[in-house]
Amino acid sequence: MSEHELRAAYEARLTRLEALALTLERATKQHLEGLPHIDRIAFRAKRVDSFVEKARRKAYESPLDQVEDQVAGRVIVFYRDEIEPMRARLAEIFGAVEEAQHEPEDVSSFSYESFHSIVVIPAALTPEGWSDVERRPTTFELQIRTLFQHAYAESEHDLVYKPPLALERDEQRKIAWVAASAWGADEVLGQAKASIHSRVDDTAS
Amino acid sequence: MRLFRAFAFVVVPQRGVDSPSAPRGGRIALRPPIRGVLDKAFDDTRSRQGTDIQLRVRTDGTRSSEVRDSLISLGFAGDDAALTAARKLALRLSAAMDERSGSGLLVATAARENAQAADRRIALWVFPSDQFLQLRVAADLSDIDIVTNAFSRNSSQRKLATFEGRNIAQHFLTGRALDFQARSGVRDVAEYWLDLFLDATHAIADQQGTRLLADILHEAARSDLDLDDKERLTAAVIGLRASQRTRWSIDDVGREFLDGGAGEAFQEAAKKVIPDVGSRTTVFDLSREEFDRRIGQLLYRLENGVSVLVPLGESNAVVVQDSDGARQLRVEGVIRDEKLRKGNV
Repeated sequence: MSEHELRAAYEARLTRLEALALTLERATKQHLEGLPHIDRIAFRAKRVDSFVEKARRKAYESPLDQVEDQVAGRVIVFYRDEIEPMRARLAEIFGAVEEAQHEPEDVSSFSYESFHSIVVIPAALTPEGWSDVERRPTTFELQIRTLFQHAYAESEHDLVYKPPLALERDEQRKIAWVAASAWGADEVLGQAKASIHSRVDDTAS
Repeated sequence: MRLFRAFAFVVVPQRGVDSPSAPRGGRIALRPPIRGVLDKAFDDTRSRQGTDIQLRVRTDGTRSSEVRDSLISLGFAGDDAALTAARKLALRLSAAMDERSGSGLLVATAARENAQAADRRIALWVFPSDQFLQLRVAADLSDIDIVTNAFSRNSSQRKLATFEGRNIAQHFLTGRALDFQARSGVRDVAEYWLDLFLDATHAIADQQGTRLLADILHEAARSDLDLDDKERLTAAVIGLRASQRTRWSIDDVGREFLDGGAGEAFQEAAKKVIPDVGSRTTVFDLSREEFDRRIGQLLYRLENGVSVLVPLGESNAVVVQDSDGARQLRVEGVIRDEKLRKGNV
């Protein structure tokens, strides 16, 4: 399939992907209703340019059904120790087929961190006409991050992932420092939260 | 699609057995009569309700499970690997069955449009064992043989699971299951078949199904219904809450509780909220707590013995306020009709 044909095929499905994103977002918000420390829940359909670029970069054999973030959602929480409970809570309505905590392998490095899962698209939440979409995706991506992880990730995506030109060493070090600071902020916030809760428990008892 | 591969094994219950015996069987020749029987059996299922299922797989990036790996081998691997996969499934089924099931014939088939096609359909059948009487007519004394090594293709206890797709990471994660013994969702797919053998779950999570059902009822209440039909919707809600049964599909609810205008409104609302046909026959366990939360309050019993029933969608007709530490209800309206029931004077 040529790039032109791929673009046209993706454009043809975009309305249904957007409808699916809305339904998934609503279902997620309903399921997480009342839980504290959630900053936001947002779903989106992948833009056409972004899809075509990814299809070309990753050289998928069948990108129309192999690109798994055509619809993606993100839940942003306050504290790092809430990522796992959130994952477990979302697993009550979404069946994950892949889960990974993205973080640098090298312990001395600091960069992107986020929990990613690939989830089966529930047929009950698909929009009208979904079964008419040929080579439709069967999965979507769901991420869970802290506020600080998200703040770093968004800037990194803009400056590092798609840089206008090659980054100089100093620029790279500054960005790594921000990643380390984001990690540190999460770490210290978690410690402060634990300390405060511990003292509250002591006072109550 | 055309069948190109089939395997059959006799499976006996061996749940809890430390070293289960390997089931007898293997590859079967797809002679025209066999092909015809299997094709007809599959075609007969099209009019039946089934339930969408999702396979449990490892989330470490492999998306592997014994069942998923076996399904893919059945459809895409060479003959030897496909046979090994079928044998593995037969042993797995045997280990999942206990004495309540009885023995059966597992038939695993693979179908495709043609040899070049990328898509496959894998079907896993279980035909329960049965005994047949065969008459031998003789000039002097006829006899009846009891045929025991037989399996029924029409039994209501047969089961089927189907999976379709290509050999990619995104396919063979979901499928469809039929339990012919299940009548309109009163008994859904047997748990050993779904949970222990297929290692799968119903595709609609209980809380999600409950919310969708509540959405459908609210949507139906918003349609142009007369008061009698609105009361029928409310009666359906009360009936659902009071029912001992917990496992429903959307279609089950419509069939069980609603007809006439209310039934039509429910069906239309169901199609709008859940466009996917298969999902409307997929079962879930109704969560009463979640259902109550989504539906809202419909029935009030007052201290003076008066009960106030609020039709779904008319919650604004009553006003509930806190007054002097008690909740007070106020409702006004024009009386439509009045009835004095016999025997209640």
